[in-house]
Amino acid sequence: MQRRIATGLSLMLEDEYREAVQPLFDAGEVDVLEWSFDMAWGRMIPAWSERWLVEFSAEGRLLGHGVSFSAFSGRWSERQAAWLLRLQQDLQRTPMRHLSEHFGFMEAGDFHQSAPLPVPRTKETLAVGRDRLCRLAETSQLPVGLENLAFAFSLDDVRQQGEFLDELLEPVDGFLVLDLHNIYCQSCNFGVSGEELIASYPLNRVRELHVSGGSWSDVTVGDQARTLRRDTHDGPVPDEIFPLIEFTLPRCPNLESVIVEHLGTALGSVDEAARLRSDFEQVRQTVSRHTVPA
Amino acid sequence: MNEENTELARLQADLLDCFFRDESADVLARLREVETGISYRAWIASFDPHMAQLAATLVQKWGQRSDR
Repeated sequence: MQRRIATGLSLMLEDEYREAVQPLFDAGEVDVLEWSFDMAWGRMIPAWSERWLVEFSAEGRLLGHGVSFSAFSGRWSERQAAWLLRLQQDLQRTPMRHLSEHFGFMEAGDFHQSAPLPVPRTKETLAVGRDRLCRLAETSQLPVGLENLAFAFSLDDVRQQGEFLDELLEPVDGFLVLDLHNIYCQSCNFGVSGEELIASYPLNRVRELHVSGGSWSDVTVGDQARTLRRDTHDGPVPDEIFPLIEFTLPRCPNLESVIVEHLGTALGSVDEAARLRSDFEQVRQTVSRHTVPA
Repeated sequence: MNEENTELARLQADLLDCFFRDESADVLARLREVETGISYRAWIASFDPHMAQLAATLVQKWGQRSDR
């Protein structure tokens, strides 16, 4: 027996986002919805997105994806404890099928927020990461997972991340969210093939694939200028991502869904909205050619 | 799991502090002055200079400190 792989979207709260993706919902093409619940804390949730959340949650098609937990901060903070409590409240109101967060940290010292940065693979970071995953699992009572990080300080960081994630996820039998644009960023920035990097991850743990676009940043050090790829979710899906999807799909026997991510604040024009829909359709067509063991 | 400051917690705080300071200075040189153990020192030594510079730009954009 084989089963199909779902295709979904990451829910944003801007009206421009709703206008762009409404035709996809109307056509019944959105199988699952990814919800970064903590990005909505302190914000007004529009009625239309509340309706989608309730509908997808009730049908077991809502996937939780936290952003700001900072799972690899060495110091456990009151903010993280409050984050877990808030998560618990959200789950009571809006049940989710599973819960993922990101590799890396964004809180330390007197910084309560920052850009997500990686950690090296040490006994200490392994223990911290495993502890935080246990707390997520205990609080949510859900399967928990981690997403690979786009940003890396070195080629060693890049090459070790897959094996490190496997070690981190092992005690909770967690799943991997493999973000293919993050892989693409590392491929561009460190001159490694995307396929080689993908093969270095524990692909049997992959439940979700993420697909998105990003942007380029010019960075100069001394007299050397480089253009670096960043995972900013504000542009179209690069052509190079689609062969990576084709490469990855048959290698992930436990894959459940492929999510297309795009910032709602980066959909100012009709052309940008149309491109998001066409990217989604292309991803959906690609995914439809594959199945996984039931 | 120790919930107080660990070597990792101190390193992370120092990294963010270094990145948050003036972008025009030599980020790598400042990072090499961070006091930490052998394994983390080796990690810092492996940083690609352009990625360290990008990290500084991102932390300056997104970093928020408490009580400041």
